[in-house]
Amino acid sequence: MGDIHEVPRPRIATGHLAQYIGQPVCFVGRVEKIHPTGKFFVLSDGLGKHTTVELSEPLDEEISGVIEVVGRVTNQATIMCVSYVQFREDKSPFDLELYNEALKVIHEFPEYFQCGTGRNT
Amino acid sequence: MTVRLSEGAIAAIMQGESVSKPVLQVMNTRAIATGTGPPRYRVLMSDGVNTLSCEYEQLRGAFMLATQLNPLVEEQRLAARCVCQVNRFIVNSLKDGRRVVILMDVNVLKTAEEVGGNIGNPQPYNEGQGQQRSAAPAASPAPSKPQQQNGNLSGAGAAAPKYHAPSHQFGRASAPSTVKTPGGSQAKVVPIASLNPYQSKWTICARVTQKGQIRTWSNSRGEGKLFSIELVDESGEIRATAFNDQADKFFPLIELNKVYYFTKGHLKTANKQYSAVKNDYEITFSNDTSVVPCDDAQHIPSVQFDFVSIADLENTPKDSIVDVIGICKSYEDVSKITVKANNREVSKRNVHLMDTSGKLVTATLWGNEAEQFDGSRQPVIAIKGARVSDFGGRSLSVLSSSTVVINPDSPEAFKLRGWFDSEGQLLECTSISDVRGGPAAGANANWKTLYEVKSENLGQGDKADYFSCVGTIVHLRKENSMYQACPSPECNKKVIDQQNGLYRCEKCDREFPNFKYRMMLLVSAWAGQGLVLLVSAWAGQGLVLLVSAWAEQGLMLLVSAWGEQGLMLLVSAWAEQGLVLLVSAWAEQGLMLLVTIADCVEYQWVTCFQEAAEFILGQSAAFLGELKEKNEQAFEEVFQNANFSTYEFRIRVKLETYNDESRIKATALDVKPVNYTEYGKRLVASIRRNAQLG
Repeated sequence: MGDIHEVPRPRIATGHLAQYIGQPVCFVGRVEKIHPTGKFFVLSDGLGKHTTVELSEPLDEEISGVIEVVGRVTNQATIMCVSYVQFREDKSPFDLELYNEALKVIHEFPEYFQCGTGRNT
Repeated sequence: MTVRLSEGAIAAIMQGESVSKPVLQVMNTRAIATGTGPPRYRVLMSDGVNTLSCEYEQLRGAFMLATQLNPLVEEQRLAARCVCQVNRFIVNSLKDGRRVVILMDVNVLKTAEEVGGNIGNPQPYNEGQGQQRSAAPAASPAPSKPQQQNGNLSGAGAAAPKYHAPSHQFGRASAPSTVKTPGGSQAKVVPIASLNPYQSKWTICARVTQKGQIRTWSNSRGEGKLFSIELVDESGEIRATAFNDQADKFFPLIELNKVYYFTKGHLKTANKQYSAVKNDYEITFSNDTSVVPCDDAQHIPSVQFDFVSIADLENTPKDSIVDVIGICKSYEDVSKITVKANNREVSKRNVHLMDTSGKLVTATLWGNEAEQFDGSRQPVIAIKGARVSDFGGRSLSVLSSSTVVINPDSPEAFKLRGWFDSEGQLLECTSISDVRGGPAAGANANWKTLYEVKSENLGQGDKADYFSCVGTIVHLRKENSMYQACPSPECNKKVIDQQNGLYRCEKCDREFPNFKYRMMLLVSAWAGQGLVLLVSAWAGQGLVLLVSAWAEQGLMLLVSAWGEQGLMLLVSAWAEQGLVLLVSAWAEQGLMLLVTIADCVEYQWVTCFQEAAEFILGQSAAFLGELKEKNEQAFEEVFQNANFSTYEFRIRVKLETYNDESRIKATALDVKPVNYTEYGKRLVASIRRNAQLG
């Protein structure tokens, strides 16, 4: 799925999962728990709602804190992860609630954030 | 189980009628010193309608206990609040019209504990008027409550011979009233407005609306102590001061907000510079002054505040005296400063008050108040009589004549508390005192976008304007960014190179063998309107900064990715005129193309001096000066590296005229890293507001 990085990947929260089934998305959340097999983990978004992220290969490192996942939404409303980035919080913590506020704005005003919601033109 | 008192008995006794075995309630007992022999007890009795007081010095009449009944008081059987039946009593009429009732035989019907409280609402008996007046409400045709008005005049005039003779007093506003004095005695209560220096025996009934601290002084003529209070009644207000012994005597007795009878003091012309009280005269306590608590005080106005909203303070002239109320959003530690005038150390503390106008003002507390202040839990603070100063814009100073009340029991305080607890604390407030360094985010800033600065014509008035903005540096002018300055620590004037190894400073009128580098960096910063959606991720690979900005003119989507290889800046802008796509990649090896955006945003040239410039460039001026001489390329790199960084700028704009040409000059006073959390919150709020406007 290398092409997923070539297309706009709207930023979503847990509440949007249902609308984006089958589509590439970008999800930012805090790691809540990791399955012992390392093949999936749960993230919570700015409202505290949980999303499950699946991996094709198990994790090869410890992840914690806030991470950004790029992937495709499955039929079960989980995210099939293609790539992820861990946010470093040593300089300042990442404000997930504020991020959620920004998400609300993006989705409320899609005419101004055309790449933000995956709806083009 | 209630006992009925003999209502009207006291009036009857006073009027010479015979009364049989009245049932009365004891309000109070007091021992009178007699020198030799057993003590005599004076008792204040109530018949449910009237009392006959024993408190006041000039009596209308009194109840005395025959000495054989002393044990009743001493054994606590006859005590305040108990109800007793007077089986036998004698009435003595004194030559001056006073009546003294001596109780010879008394039965305690109910003890104080059994009764528990006062029966009825007895009013002090006053011979000057009919019974009905004293009984609080009802049938009385004359104005009942504010009974000291002229309505009583006719009755009072006849019965008032004993008070000082001259009834034509100088400039008396209204005649003395006879009501509400304890025991309905000779002492007439006069309105404060009628007090004047030609009258020495007077009584007023007033509330203490302000009580100052004890202050001591010491000068060539001696030393002493004093404290001042402000008194108010329905007719007006007046200031009173007690010195030395009287200060010691009355300071612990007089409490703020309580009502007292004040008798006899010295009146003199008021010293207006010490107080804002509206009265031509002021009182000085003398040895004859007496202060007695007054129980019946509903008619006396309470501390009157006339609050000014903090936002309105901006339009209040400096040195005015105002009342304010606000929540103490934050406060500083107490500090000690030395007053140069008399080399004394005094404590001071700044507190920051906020009200529903969303504005914050700094108030300075002094002395004890500063030391004892507890601002935890963000209390409501009301200040009466604070002075407005123009420090930093507008600030407040608490004077010794001001009153500070913490968490006052008033509707305004409750409203403020409710407002603050629900929405106020989330509100970002602007300070009118321009205080720097307040930790409360945004509390000291006037956030503007550069577009607003231009459209609001900031800097074009007579005075400089100050604002803060978040801006991205898009260009730094490195030519003429540094100049050679005088090496003296305080002097930054440009020196003239004498070409002989010496440099001359005109201001200091000296020559130096060296100079120091000073920076004057011209930076053009670009800030857009609208939302900046910020996600900043620091990952092992590098920084990804995703920003999309929405301005009225168009959308800007900005992504800057900065990896180990270098910075990539991707910008796509939609303006009404069209699309501009900008890519600039800048790696460690070199710089690639830079294109500026047209139309959608404003730009602004800002001059940054030393500290700001050093902060932006990340190097000291001295180092840069050397670099310029030794390694030109490295020097340039420093400038490149600084480009495209985003900071919070605090800017001063002013219209300046130079050789007939007027230009807006902007100077950066302070440059700080952006606090993205606060910035993001401000933007979301701004979007929401704009969305509501449709």
